Amino acid sequence: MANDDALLFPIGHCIGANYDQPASKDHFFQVRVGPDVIRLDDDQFAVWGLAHGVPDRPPDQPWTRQTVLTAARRAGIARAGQVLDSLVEDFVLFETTPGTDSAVDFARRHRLIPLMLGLGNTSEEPRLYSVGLVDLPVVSMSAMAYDLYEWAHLDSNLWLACQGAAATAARVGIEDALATDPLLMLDALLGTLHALLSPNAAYLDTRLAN
Amino acid sequence: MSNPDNNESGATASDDTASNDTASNDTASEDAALDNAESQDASPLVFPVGHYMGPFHPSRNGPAKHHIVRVGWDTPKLPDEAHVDIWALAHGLPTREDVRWTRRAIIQAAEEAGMPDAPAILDNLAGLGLIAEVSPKTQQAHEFANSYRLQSLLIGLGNSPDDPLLDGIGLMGLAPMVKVRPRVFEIWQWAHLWPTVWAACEGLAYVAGQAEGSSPDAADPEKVLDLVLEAMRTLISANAAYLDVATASGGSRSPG
Repeated sequence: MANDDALLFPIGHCIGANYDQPASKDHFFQVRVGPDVIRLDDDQFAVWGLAHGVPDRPPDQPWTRQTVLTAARRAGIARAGQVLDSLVEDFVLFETTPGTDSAVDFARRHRLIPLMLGLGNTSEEPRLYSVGLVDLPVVSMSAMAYDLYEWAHLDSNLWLACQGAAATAARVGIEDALATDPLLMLDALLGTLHALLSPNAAYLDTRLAN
Repeated sequence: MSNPDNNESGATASDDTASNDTASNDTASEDAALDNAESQDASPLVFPVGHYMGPFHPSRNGPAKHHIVRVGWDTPKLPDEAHVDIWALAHGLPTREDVRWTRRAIIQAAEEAGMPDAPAILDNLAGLGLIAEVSPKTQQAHEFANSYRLQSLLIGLGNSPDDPLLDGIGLMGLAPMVKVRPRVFEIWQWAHLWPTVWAACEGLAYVAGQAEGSSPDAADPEKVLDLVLEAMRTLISANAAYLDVATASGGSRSPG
């Protein structure tokens, strides 16, 4: 059982609603996780969606099981605790605590995949990089986070990506430990990851086999 | 700036009725010739390559040094706005989905939009590996499919009771950026899990072959490739997918 400080992350790529019959309201939702498609009902999909974060979430608000349950109750989702537990059992929700071994284990099990375009930095604020749609920035982030957004999905898992990014930063002479220490980099990323997940700027998938 | 979708020529500029008739006839025959040429056009289709990563401003209040595109483990640079514009145009125009998106079509659209030097810029982009050309139903199409992979962007919004035959792709809470038929949605959903476009075609054909009642075409990788090349234009022009080079994981970035 994860501790109270554990962050809760959604896993999988949203595939959306599936209405089988014209004019029928019968439906389910689908999430692809690796080679599998998971079917979710309305409540499950709502809790999975809330695990991404919500638009009015304060940037420094850790997004944990408790905050998700609070948001779920506000949204009127019945038995949210049971629903959340079932999603954890199905590996479409995952809890991990930055700064612990579980974070490295989490990173070894998953990949970070971008879903938007990189929009670069601006002359007004060259230290901040944004991602979004054409001419529509959605999320701004540090150079370190942008670097992972650009490259991390090419590695078979997020931990390898952090190690690769740290090695590259060290090779080009960057001295900031946040950029050259893969553990610090991972912890910093996990602490801000919901800002990317909430607007669907990125998603987490299972690791690749190689 | 001229309207790229305005196909009317200058035939109405003359006050002379006879000239107008002649001009109209000329325009009609030119249009017919153009349609005929397009229907028989065997020149390769052009696709942009890479994941756009935006402008890089090295200092505060300074101009952008270049625009970055990630291609595999490399980051070729778009040196100026003219290259950015033509590379963007290579994605396709949603208003011209039925036009074969060849060099000629891109150059014509660029001229209509007042973008100069499109032929030379396309050559530069090809040299940088930022566009790729493919001739469907040829051996070269196989080489293309083995050299590139399709990467998906955005999320699936699925279908709706009002429109059960089309699946939306976009962002949660917004109208779909594009709506596609199920076979195209399937390509968007799954193709990126394979290391090359061709491997995706073989995989999708195999899966279709296992399904009861599927058509023979759906189980034929060659036919699937034809469909993927069509689907790519729809998906890429909506920025719902991009082409990347096929690279094995475990590589490393190029210096600089």
